[in-house]
Amino acid sequence: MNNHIKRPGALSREDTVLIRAIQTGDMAAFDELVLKHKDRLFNLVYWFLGDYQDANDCAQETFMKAFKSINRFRFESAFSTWLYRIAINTCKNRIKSSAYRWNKKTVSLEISNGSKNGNPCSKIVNGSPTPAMALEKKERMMWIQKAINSLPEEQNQVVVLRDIQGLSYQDISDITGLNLGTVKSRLARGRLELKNKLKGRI
Amino acid sequence: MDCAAIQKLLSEYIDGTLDAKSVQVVEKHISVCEDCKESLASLSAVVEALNALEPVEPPADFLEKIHQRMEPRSDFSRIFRKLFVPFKIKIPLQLAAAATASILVVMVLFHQKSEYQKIQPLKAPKSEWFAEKSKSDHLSPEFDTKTKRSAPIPEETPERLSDSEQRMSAQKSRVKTSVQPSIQREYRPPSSVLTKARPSAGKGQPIALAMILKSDAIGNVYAPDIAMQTMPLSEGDKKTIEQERTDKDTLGRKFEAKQKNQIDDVLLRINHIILPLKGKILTKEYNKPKDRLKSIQVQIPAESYASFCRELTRLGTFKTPPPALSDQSLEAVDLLINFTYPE
Repeated sequence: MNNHIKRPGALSREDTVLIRAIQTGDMAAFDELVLKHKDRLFNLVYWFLGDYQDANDCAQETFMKAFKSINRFRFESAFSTWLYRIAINTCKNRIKSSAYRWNKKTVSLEISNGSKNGNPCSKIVNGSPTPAMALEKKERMMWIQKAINSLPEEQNQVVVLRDIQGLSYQDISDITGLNLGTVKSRLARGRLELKNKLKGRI
Repeated sequence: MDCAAIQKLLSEYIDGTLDAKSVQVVEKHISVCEDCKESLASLSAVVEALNALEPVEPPADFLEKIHQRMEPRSDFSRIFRKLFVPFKIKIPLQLAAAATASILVVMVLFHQKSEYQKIQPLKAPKSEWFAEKSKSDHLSPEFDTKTKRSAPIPEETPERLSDSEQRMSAQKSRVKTSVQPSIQREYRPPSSVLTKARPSAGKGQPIALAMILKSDAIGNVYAPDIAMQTMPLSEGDKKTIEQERTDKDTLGRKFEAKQKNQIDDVLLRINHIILPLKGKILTKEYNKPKDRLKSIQVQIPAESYASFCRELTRLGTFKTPPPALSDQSLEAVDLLINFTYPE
């Protein structure tokens, strides 16, 4: 996965041009920026929250917040770092909200959109050798998702940014505002926790 | 370095961010420690599994939805949308169950309260109702034939009466019907039974007593024993009383006036008996033609029943001895005393 996800790194020239255009009122540039970053941002938000509908809502809200405050972007970091910072704050607010807490306690009877749009728990990957293997993979994915969602919030963030998004320690430090030592220790604790939770399942 | 310290380095060892010296220490340790080696293997498997997760893609209309949310909406469209958009907050099952149970409890309690309020007027104290009704009936005694027909008095005839006696009895009962309140008639024994003292069958039914008044009890409100209880009499007062007694015997008018006061005399004497015993008079019935007290219904504490009967003997003699109280748990007893006057 990490191979096909572009790492934030430094501010790219393409992002700089698009942001400049947005700052002058070019909505098409905003659409282009959204299309460029939406997949990675959505994946990040999904693994933070663990719910497809919440992730969709929060990802949209993140882009809207970015658009509203685009004039305050100082071109000192990668746009994705700035965008992820907004995303993490939005997710934190969502997690604190009563609606999210209630939602976590209930089991929705609706068929969530996630089953149609790439929810890893319900998606059978095309090209699987046999249905049995696909089912086994699906089950493993379900346990991983359950284990990640059960991690404490601070460990969940670091594990997702590092092992799912494939960001460097420095990028994680920039996004979360934590120092490198804290990032490393939280990552080590989070991984150890996951290892214990997934013992015998993967 | 012990296993605990090595375990802390394994995460960075997997990421390849350890310095060369630490890498050597870790590799040397796991070559001899099976537990740490196994731990490294399982931790690496977890990291690989996370790296291999399929990306979760946003819905196809992601950008379109952002555009919709960014469009300025009019108040009307916002309200309209809120009306038809499904409620986003999902209510937990426990909360829904608790709310439903609460509503049911409130409904049941409210229903019971309304039923209780409907029944409440029927629970008015019977003695007060009797007193009110009797008072009003006494103030305007009129014959009410409708009442008589709709609620006839249950006649109990323990002994066979002759035709003339039956007619008289029927006349008496009609007169009584017009004077007595309808509910009181239900509890009131027939006149022929009143002569037999008997204990009450249940709560609300008075004990019937019949007594013949002494001649000196009538019109003897100034009896020395009562007068002494109320107020000490001076010598002058006694002379005046004696003068009045002489006058009433010689002057016809005064004697007639005294006859009218007989009701008050008997009542006054009964009051003198009842009040110290903390009892009260509930109803009174009069013989209209002669303006005499025919019967009286009183309520006295059960503990004072014997004392009351003993005190009553000062007014007259019982036709039959007063019955003993069968129900000792009663707080108060109702007595219906029927008076007979000496000819």
